[in-house]
Amino acid sequence: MTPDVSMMRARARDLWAGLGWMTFGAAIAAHATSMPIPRHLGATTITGPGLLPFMLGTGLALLGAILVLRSVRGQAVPGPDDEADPATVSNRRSFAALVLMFGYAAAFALRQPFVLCTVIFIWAFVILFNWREAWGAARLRLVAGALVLALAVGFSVEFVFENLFYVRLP
Amino acid sequence: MLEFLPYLTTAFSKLFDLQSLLLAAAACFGGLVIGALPGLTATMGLALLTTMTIHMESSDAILVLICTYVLAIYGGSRSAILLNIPGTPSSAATALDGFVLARQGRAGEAMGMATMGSVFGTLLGIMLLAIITPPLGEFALSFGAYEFFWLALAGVMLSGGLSGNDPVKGWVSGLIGLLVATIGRESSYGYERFVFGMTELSAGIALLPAMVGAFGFAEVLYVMRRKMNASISDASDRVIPRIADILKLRWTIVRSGILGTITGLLPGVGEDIGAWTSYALAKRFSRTPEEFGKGSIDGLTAAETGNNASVPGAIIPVLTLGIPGSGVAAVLMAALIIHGAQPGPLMMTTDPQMIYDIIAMLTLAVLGILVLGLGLTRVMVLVLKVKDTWLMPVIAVLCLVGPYAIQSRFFDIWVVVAFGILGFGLRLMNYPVAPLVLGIVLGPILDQNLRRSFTLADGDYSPFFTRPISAVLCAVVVLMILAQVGPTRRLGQNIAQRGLRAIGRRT
Repeated sequence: MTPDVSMMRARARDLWAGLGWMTFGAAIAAHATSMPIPRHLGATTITGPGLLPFMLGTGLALLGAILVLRSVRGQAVPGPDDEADPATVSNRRSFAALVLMFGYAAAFALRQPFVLCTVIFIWAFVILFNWREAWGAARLRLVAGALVLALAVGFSVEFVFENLFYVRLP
Repeated sequence: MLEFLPYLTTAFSKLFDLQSLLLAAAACFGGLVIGALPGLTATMGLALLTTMTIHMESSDAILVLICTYVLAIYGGSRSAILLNIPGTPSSAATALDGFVLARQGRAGEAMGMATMGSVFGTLLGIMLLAIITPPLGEFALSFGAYEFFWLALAGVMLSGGLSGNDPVKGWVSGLIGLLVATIGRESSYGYERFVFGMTELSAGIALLPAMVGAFGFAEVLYVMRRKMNASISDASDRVIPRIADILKLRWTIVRSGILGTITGLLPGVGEDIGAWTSYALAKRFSRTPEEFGKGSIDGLTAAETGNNASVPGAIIPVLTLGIPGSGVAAVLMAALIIHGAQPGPLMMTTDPQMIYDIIAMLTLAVLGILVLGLGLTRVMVLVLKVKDTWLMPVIAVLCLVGPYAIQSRFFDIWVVVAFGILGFGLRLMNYPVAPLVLGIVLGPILDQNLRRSFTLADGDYSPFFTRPISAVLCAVVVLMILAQVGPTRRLGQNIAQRGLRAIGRRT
């Protein structure tokens, strides 16, 4: 990754992120000013519940403005991710993992059977990320191995949490 | 003078029963594996373990967490040396020389010296903890609301300023953490902030699900992003170092141990900065600075001594001020509170035994480093061959089940997911996550003490700036901000460049 490309990436990202923080910070500060001050309980403007959120929102908006200003002036600070070789990372892999993990979390939160969900999740995760690297008999071993891991984790986690920690799982 | 001795004797005697020793051994091994595996960080491991030790006896749970903490920081050196991938962020400096040594066929020697550096670093840190904690604890008793407000603010600012490569982004992360801490019913008037009608948010965001999300769930997503095919180095040479080799490095060890502990002591700064500052100091004093980065045993030992010395260092402000010295120490502090301890200025008067218990636990962990570090070289090579794609789904399951198990609240599962996505997004944009967590921990301290200060001030705000400790902490905050303002920043950069040139001329 050349320094120019990493700087361009950092500038573009800081510009949009800075604008986002400015908007978010301003929204927080505005919301904080609408918080009631319980004067009948002795509160004043500076001891009311909205003081700290107002200060934090304002601070966030200011820091966002600094990021925008730096980006416009070409003074963004590239980080390790800007300098990473795009061939070594893939956002699609993260997205695939996120979809699987979100699905598993949703099934768990919606009280679906724990062991069944866990087995399906682990099996699908291992298969998805290893399928391309395995061929022929190796694929069969992958499918079987993933199933063994999924069953072992599903049943052992349920045993440990339900019998040792007395936590009721769905 | 020797009034601490009964406490220390009691602390060690409590540990010498079979159950405690077995638990410590298991935790040391677990910590070593957590630290060594590149996908698992010490913070993530400790956050997960806190959720799993919640139903244990408090002394046993704290022992497990302390041993895991120390060994996880040490364990990071294994993958740094053998794979050139730091197992934890604190072992990034170790990889610079460790991996070069491994490529030269000296992996065993590198692991041996890393082990000895970690052992002596932790021991020096423990000694300083024992010396500093009691007087600092008593000194902290004089802190009032003004001082705690500034301390919490300075902690978030320091953490934001030093934990990434861009202080502005670190402060954004810290402010988000502080904002998260304001969610829910506030303590003074019972007003519900940022709840938006969701009853689950009335009690606020629970710390552990947020931490497991920001460090665990996010880490799984981050690890899966890499298309990594690292090859492992051979480690068949001699592992146990010669006494003469250790003696040669005695001053490096002493300097790095002291500097690492002091760095760990600073709120929110952490073990990785401890390693880097020790590495830089060792290079500054070395007779062969040109070897640093090309396989220097001196550099490797300095980095490993520094990061492990930071562990006791990071625990000092937890015990005396109730303010964590690093992200991992923040998790440990949360665990101590969950298990009924009261970290902070009152600990020296209400529960001094706890301080000595922790000293004894840290010492046991040093024994763990020595035995497992030198004895399990082959086993760790096998552990490092586990593929991320098989390990990460198991971690994902634990990230969701662990936080749920604390209160059996299904809402906490969504907290993990939300903070996982937030943490992952922040990392992608190069924002450090440690200030976010520190902000969540310090938010309530900052909020309560700011408002208490305003009430006490009764219209006269001079105590914020005129009380001696307040003035010093206020100066730290102002200097950190000024360091980022145009002319002041340029002045600082000029001074730093002149300093570097002077060092270059000397060497």
